[in-house]
Amino acid sequence: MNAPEYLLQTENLELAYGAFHAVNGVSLKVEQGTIHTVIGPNGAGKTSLFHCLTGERQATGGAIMFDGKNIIKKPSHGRVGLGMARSFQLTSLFQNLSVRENLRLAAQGRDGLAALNFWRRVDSRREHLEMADQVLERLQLTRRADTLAGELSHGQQRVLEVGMSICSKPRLLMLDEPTSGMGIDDIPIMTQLISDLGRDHTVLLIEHNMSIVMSISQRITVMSHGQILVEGTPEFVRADERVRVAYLGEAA
Amino acid sequence: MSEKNPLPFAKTQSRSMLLLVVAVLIGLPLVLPSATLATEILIFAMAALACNLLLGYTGLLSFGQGIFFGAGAYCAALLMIHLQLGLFSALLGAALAGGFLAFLVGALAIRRTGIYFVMLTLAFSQMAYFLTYTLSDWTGGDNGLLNVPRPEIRIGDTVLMSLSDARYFYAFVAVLFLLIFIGARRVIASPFGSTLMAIRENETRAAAIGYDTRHFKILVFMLSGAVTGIAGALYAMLLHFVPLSNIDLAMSENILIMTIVGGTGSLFGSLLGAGSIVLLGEFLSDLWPRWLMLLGVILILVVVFMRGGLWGGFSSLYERIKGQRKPSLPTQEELP
Amino acid sequence: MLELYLFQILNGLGLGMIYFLIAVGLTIIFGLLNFVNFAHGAFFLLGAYICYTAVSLTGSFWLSLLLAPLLVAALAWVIERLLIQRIYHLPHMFQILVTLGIALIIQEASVMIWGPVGKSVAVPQLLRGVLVIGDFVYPYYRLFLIVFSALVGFGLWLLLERTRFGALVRAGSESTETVSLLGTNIFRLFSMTFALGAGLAGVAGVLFAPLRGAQPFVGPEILGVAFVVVVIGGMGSFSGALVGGLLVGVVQSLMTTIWPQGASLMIYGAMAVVILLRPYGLFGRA
Repeated sequence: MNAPEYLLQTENLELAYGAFHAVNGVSLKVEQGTIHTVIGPNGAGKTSLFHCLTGERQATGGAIMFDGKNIIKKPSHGRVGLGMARSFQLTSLFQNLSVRENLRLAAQGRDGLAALNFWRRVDSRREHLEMADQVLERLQLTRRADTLAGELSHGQQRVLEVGMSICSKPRLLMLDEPTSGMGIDDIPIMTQLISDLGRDHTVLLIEHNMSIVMSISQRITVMSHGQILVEGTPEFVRADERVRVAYLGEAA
Repeated sequence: MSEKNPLPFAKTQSRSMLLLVVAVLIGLPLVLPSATLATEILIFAMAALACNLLLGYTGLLSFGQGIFFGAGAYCAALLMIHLQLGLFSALLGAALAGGFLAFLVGALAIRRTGIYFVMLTLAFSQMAYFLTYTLSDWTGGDNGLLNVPRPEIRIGDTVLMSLSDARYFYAFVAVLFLLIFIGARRVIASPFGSTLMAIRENETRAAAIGYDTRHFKILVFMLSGAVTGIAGALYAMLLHFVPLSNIDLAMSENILIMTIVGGTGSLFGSLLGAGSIVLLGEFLSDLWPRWLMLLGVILILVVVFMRGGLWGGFSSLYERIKGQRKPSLPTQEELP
Repeated sequence: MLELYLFQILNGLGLGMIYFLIAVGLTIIFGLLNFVNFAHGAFFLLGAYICYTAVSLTGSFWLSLLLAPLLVAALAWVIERLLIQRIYHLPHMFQILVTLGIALIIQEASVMIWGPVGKSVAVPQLLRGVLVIGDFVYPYYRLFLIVFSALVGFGLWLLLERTRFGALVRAGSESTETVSLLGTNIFRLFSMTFALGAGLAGVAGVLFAPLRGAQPFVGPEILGVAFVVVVIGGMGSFSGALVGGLLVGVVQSLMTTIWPQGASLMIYGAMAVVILLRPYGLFGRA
């Protein structure tokens, strides 16, 4: 099979709000099977880039190639079926549904339109239940399967938040600051989880916490002012003078 | 809940719920002074149940329910009067009319969310009312549509059962209600129903995990509209008359009130809500012409003290006795 | 024929100014409190009835024009304190239910107090008679209506634009957190705004009374029109309420000579079209 070298690739991606370019000509290449992290100071355009990739915002220029196809016009729900999945920076769960049901719904969403079937029963689609149970195990939430998602501890909610994105068997996981708002004690669990997920998914990560970024990423893209500043291995990025300047400001 | 059972429902609970409904259906005409009153309760329970699919399960507050109710009533009446259609064809026509209008209203209204969605359904509701009023050649305008027949159940030319006796008509409506109740539970327990609840909980997330939520909302609107249309048609047959008020904004409000007072947490709540509001009106309106004032007080009390409605109140009482706890929003746990 | 249209347009402006007064109260409440008030029509109703009672007791329309809005506002203030304040945080569904309940209570209480048949209120002595310019004849009271509503509107504009209270209301419409940070008692601001909105509906009720009397079941109809005006003008927009009110008033008035049954159909149709095409109204901000 002639799979493209890069699972996800943007070409000159642009997101403009009037005259302001939040994303200004970004050409990002995410290699199959890697954990690829995007970092950058506040306002660098990471989140805007992420929004374009998930379909939350319609990019105003350029192309987004996923698995060789330009998906720039696809709405966010349409990207799931292609094998993309995402998590949210602010925990976004189905609070009043059980943990298992959260995961089952996420598994069912891979083929979203098939769920319009209103005459079959939920358990006629066993594969979704099985998927949910597998992920429960992987997240170590099996004991809390029947708890309402809203009643989990904050750390567990963050874990579930990330876990929901793997239920649709995606090829690309896009994680938006998974450790955001997590207590210091919970962060190692999340780090462990992400590097574990990196073993069978391609992961695109946006993260603030530098120690996580440096320890689990294979590749790092540094953004600044809506553009790519530097890209390379963690060691390369760590050593780069421009990155220090961008992070510490003009004074440095 | 057992660790072995991966299904998110408890089967025994569902069976007892069904038994409860059957018991109510049998008991109503025995307890109430007239079968007509019991029939009215079931008709509005159908409408409230359909409203609950939107409000309780999908989180859509629609003021359009009166449109579908009125459309069902007028459509069935006109089909029976002008085309001499029989019982089932008239009901089918009403369901189609309700479902079709719900498709139109739904498809347009879901382009907006929150209060703008509510205002759109309200505007459509008023338009439907004034349109009906204007088309008085067909609808009778202010006077309503008179001489609506109540056809018998027949197959071909063989009459199986006349429904002119109020008790027989009740039995027919009760069977229909039971079928719709079972159908609605089945819908809720389907992949579709579970997705509706996901949309209610968090639409952004539902879209992010792959659901085109517009399709789901439009479909649930159509199902709700069809059932509401059937309820409207039955009401026309019950009264032998379609008053203009059937398509009034006040009808939408009434259906919403019954749904919320009964409790959006369960389909059975809709039966409770319709029952209590209809009975309140029936018994109080003779004693005290200003009984709507009491209704006003009840609405306020429900919101302040019993947001889960009557169903929520009863089940939390029941659980306090049993020492359990359950969310007040519907989940699949109470389902088949 | 032209005179007839001119007459209808002027009538429409008068009606439109009344609609403006009703709608501006609703829109301020929505803007600041994000609260859907289905009891607004009932406050209008109450204004009209209190006017009737005040006029029959004192004989003075002017006194009632002062008194009725104050009483309505006071009642609204009490209701806000006791009840509405508990439900701001709830979903719209519950807000609608509670305010529907309040509307029902006010409506039924009005019937109990004033009877099920509407009461008529005489046009005040000073404003009886008509203005004659050539062939054109126009009642003084309707002229007064336009001028007085404009004055109230101007006063309200000053209140919103030139006072600390107004600044807080406007700031609060953007973000209630900001206002709390300013050290203002946000709940008192809410109560005052709610009472102000209801009082304006009361003024409208009084002004309406000599035209069509006080009628017990007019609440829902008025509420419907107010929603149309608010939506067309943009929820939360003062100038939108003014232009929307005038637009709806004039259209309704003209339609009575052209196609009476179509008037309501048209304004609700316009409401739907505006939400679909310009959800923030013709004058609202995005």
